[in-house]
Amino acid sequence: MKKLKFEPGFVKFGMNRAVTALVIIATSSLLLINPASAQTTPANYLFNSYPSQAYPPTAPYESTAPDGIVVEGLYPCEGSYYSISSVEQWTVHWANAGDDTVTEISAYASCQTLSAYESELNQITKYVEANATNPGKYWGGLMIDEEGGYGFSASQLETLNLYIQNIMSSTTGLSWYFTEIEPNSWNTATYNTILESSWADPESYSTSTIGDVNAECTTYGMCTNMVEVDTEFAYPYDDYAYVTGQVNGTAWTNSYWGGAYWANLWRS
Amino acid sequence: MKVLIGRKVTIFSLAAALLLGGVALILEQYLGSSQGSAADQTILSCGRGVPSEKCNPSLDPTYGTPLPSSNPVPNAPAPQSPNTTNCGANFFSQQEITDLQGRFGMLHCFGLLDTNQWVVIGNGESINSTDTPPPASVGGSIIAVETCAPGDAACLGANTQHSFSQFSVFYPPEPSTGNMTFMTMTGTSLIDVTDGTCGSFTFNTTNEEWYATSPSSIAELLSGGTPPSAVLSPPSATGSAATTRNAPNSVSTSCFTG
Repeated sequence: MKKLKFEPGFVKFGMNRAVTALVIIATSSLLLINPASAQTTPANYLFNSYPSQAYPPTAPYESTAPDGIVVEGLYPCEGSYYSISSVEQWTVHWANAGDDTVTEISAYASCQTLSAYESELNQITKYVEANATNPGKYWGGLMIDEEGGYGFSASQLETLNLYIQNIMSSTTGLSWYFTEIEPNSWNTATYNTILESSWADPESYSTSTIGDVNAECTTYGMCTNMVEVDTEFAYPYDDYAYVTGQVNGTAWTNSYWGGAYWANLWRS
Repeated sequence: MKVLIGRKVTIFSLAAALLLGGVALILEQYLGSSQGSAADQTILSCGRGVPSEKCNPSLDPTYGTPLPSSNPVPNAPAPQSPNTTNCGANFFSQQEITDLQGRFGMLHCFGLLDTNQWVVIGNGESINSTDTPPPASVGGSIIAVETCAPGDAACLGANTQHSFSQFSVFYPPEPSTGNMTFMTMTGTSLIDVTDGTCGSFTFNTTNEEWYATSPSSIAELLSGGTPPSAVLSPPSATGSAATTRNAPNSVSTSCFTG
């Protein structure tokens, strides 16, 4: 008669194994999804070029060419390179070359009014939608650089982002909008509100800014970020691997662009 | 034995609860505010409030449309190619970087290869504060320039250790409020910044003057002809002096809109 499974020693041994296994599984599952754990280093990256510049070079610390391009449109007061027509034409140029492309505009209040930015963004969107061969596949959409020092209030930026959200809702495929926000310009609650339904592209330039990105994740659950890294800062904030390793949560990803994780690198 | 088994059951229950909690968190993350891995995209939320078709090609009827056979370069302004290089990791000693960041905020550092100059830009924001927004740094916002003699290998080296005392420091019109953002390089020597809410300014490293940025001023500066009128800004300082004094008073009469 086999009594083994009823023997006290077996019960103790079996329970030990079961408990150990469950504890390991439970701990692992919490570690895997814990928003307090750092991003995995993104394999793909966007790198910016200004209108009329060539495709961006391999970024510092990276070993491969950029996987996509940000057309750095700044604002029209910066001169003819940054006129609406120049920005929209270069966006279409890269998208039609089969490059994953995003169009960035800096919302700087001293240059033009909020309604002028809305008009500019609407015009660019309509042009790209009409002239790019497959914008839904290659145009990631708009990216708005929003910083406290640029002069627009938080409520104005919320208004702007809702406007963008509205115009991008009617675009095809992937095209949506990113907010490149300087997180420490505002407290966490305000930062969270400004984000609206954008894809977050937080400027992760310092202990302070990264701390605020992580506070947003912990407090409001926006834990997916395409981290913005300035490649011209002094080490270590020029190193995307270091910076993304400080940011909690998950890097941005999208099936239209192959499903890898992405960071966004900046240069002048 | 009862006590032993009872304790095991308690631990077992706790572990099971942890596991269920983990599963619940996973579901919340994927179905709620965050995105999952690429493989999950077809069934997961695309981000807080983002339409699901923005992450799901199967919902897009235009996905896969072929590219055109030709792709002409836009009829846009002639190419510009700022000829710059980053400062090396050893450009300043670690102590000097720490000191400079403490005084001038986050630092950009790069070389202008056409003019044999090194540039350091401090954004003028305190890096040690947790306030939102951070206060101005004690030394304010700056653009500092070191000009090397042609052939001076030590000075021209990106990884040769430099001293900030060899730089000249130039202040934008409103250096004491911080918040200066480096926007771009134009041509070979024009540095465009936003100076808080004071306005957008262009600093020319060759004549060390500040200009209000506008399409016409940029065009005039790039043409090499008669430059536009420079704006007033606080007096420049040597690198040594700038690292021992507070930011100078602003020249707010130089601020403008549009």
